[in-house]
Amino acid sequence: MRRREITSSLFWMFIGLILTIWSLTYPLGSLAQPGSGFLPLGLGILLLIFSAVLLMRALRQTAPTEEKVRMLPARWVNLALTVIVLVVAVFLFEKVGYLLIFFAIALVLPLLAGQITFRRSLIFAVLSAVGVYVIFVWLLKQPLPTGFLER
Amino acid sequence: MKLSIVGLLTGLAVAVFLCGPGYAQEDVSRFPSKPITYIVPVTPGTGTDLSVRLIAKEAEKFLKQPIVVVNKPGGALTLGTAAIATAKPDGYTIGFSGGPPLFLTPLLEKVPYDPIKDIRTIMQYGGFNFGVYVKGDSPFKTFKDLIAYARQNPKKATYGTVGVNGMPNIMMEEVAKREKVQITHIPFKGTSEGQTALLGGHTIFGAGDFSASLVEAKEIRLLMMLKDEPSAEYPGVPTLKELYNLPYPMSITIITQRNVPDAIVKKLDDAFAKAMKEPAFINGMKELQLPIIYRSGKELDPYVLQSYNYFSKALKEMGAIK
Amino acid sequence: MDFFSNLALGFGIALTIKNLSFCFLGVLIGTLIGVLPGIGPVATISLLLPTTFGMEPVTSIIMLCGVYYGAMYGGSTTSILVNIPGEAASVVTCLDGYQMARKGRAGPALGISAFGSFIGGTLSIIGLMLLSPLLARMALKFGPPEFFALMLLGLAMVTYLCRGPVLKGLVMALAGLAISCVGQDQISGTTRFTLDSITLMDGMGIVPVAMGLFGIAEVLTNLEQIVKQDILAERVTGIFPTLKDWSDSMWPIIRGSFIGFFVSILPGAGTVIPTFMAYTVEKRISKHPEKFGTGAIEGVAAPETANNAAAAGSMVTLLSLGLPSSVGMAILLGAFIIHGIQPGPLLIAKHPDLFWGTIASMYVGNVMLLVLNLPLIGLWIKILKIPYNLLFPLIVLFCFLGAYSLNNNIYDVLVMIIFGVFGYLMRKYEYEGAPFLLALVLGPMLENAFRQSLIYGDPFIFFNRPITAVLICVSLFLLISPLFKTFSQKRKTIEKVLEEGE
Repeated sequence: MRRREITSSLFWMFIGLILTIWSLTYPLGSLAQPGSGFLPLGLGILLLIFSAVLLMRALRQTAPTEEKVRMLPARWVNLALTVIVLVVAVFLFEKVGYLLIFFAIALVLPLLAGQITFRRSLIFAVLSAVGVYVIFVWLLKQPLPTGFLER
Repeated sequence: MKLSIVGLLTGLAVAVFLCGPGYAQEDVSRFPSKPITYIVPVTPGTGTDLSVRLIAKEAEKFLKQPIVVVNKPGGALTLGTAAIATAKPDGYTIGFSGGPPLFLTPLLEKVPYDPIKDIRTIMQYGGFNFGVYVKGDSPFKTFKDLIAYARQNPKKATYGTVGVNGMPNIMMEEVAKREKVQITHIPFKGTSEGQTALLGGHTIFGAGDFSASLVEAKEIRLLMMLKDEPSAEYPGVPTLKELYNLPYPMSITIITQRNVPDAIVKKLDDAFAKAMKEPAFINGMKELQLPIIYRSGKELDPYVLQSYNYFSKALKEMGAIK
Repeated sequence: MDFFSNLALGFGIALTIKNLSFCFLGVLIGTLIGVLPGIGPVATISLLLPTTFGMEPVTSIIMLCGVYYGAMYGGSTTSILVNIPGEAASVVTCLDGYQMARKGRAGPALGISAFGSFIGGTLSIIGLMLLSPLLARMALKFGPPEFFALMLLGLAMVTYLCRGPVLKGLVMALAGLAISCVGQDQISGTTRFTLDSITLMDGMGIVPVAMGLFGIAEVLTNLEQIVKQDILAERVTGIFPTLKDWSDSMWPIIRGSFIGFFVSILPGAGTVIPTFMAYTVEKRISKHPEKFGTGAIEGVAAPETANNAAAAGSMVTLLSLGLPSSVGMAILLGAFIIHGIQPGPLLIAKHPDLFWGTIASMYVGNVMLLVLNLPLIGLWIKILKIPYNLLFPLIVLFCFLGAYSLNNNIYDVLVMIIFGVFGYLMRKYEYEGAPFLLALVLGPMLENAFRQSLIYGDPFIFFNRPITAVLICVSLFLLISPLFKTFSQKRKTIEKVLEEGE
């Protein structure tokens, strides 16, 4: 419990520090005419103060209930792969087109969640791609990129 | 099982890169042989977006292909403009431009296109009625009255526009400099926020776009038009050109990638010029209170360059850029 | 008497077969797009607009308005079922609605939001009809200083949005404000924190961030703990709200209607802020505030009512001054104009048939929506029976599509994924998403109003004006008081209760 609190308050302190320094690169202005760095600087300083209070409270905590926190959840590989699949999909989306990308997402993600056969997931992927086409492109006429399948 | 997915994905990726850019040069005489994408860099529903939808609907008849209107708002209109500038130069991607993303924003911000080298203008089909206006019950009847007030009360004449270094702001500061008065600029997020503040008495006057219904209801009064030609819709209101001989280059144009062949641009220009004569378009523009003005791309390209140079000079004098 | 003859005129127009069928078409499309995240009324209305060119103006306006308020009905569905806010106005609904769904009470949650929407919608149409011109004038009194004070009050609501320690909520709010600074600042035009990305020039979109922080983060959290087949398919108890649900949510619905209607009239308040306010008020006056966030029906009823009331409320300035108070209203303004009708001070005098016809159609449309949405609830609940390993890819696909369709910009999807990961991590460390999102919504308006006010040249401007001074004092009190409480005994007992509750 306690370690978690310390880590997160240190994280916010770090963010506060970056924000403070970064906002100093923008014009600060005066109280009569605040510039674009005025509010971010204030936010950065407040964030520093608040995270310091959080840190102090975490340090002062006598932690009898020091439970074991596993920093990496059991299925972190699947989690990370899900995120990676999505990010890759983002970068290929406009080149490859929506149909293939959505097909690929719908094929891979159920497999990552587990407890499903490849065949069922294939059927699911085909259905999802067709469903997206029917609802979004055919009915709602959303302009989705067609990629290299373009006529 | 996992391996097979990885294999499948790699296979897909390879396939993508193999059949990627293998387009043959198309025969110009067959243009257009597929739907045309018309990129609009503003949110749907605004006056300019509606004007695009009006003309696109008419032009489809002459091009004999559907025109797909795609809104790509963001980045002060530069996001959509960048999409046009980086499109394949085959004439199937065209877009709307109002002016500022071509000769104003590129001067102030880093944008991923060069307005002169990456973009050419197909034609112009409309203009804007921008103006300087006060509240209906304001004591100021002419622009001179307003300037006189500003002279006696330095910094007290507050005015709202849609943003710092927008065209209305630059032009009002230019006018103030010539008249040697001090006015206070209060930027708002949009035209309606600015007008709301004016009606509530939180600003003295406003510059830029305005709601025609408020003029009709005498809730606001126009003192000056921010445009080059007198306005048919508002006769008797002097223009910025008449009073101060300052240009106000705002127009509704259709642009495309610089390297689109002349023959294709000519085809598009002709089709849109014909669409402008359709009654549905003429009536629609009248309802939108947008004037119809035609200019060909040949006239417009030098005009963009000229405006670009003018604003780079003006912004330097204001100290907004180095 | 005049009023009743006008209303009769309106119903005469709205109840023709043609107008009834287009009204139905409008609300049907509205419900559909409300359910689909990302595709909002704005995009849909502009898509439909060209097809209405040939219609009579009043028919077209009736249909397009139907799309607009119909979307408010549909918006709650995905919030409750899968924790994806379909639009910013249903973010608050996620807090208690999704918890209710996890407890097998998705039916009552959807039911109460349909009834609440109906009541809120109907009450605010009465307000719109009777008070429009008067209220529009009063709203004009709100200048930049008043706005700043209002936004500050909104921010003070953060202290009521969090279940855990207030300090953590405030930290999240600060982070949200900081993120809201990304992009071109609207006062001096400086581009901040964008790392030269032009997607970020207009700032972080609220909807992609919300979908990430709630929808994607939820998916990731669940993905980590899938052991059994399903997480959501707990026994679904009852489709309709029970008698106790009704008595619990009666007053929240009524208060929600008033808050939604009156707050949304203020230019710029839109439909988001009223929902947060309605939620806060309920939590503040509730006898058991600790239940909020764990599936309290009041926490669904109040904001869902408020956003429908706000849909009508935000039409006040459009119809009586011709000034749209939000993007949704701007697009409706476009629709009016394209049909040759200028909304504004002269609207009622020049086009009485259109004004009263549209108002009457809104009563009819709300009844249609209620009838349409109640049977749908049974269908929606079935969605929860889909095994999670198939449901979650569907959720991800919907979020992907929704984020993309907002601006046809793929980087919005990236923003959503990044905030999904951020939201997931924040959950692990027991920080909450709602204060972050509220701050993100309020941030730009807060900063603009603050800096606009100071440009007037008087640093004491916030204390010279009565409305402003009162609002600021109240919000400072709300913000500061819980900070002191954290050290007092009272706070500890609340935390104890909370821990036991979980």
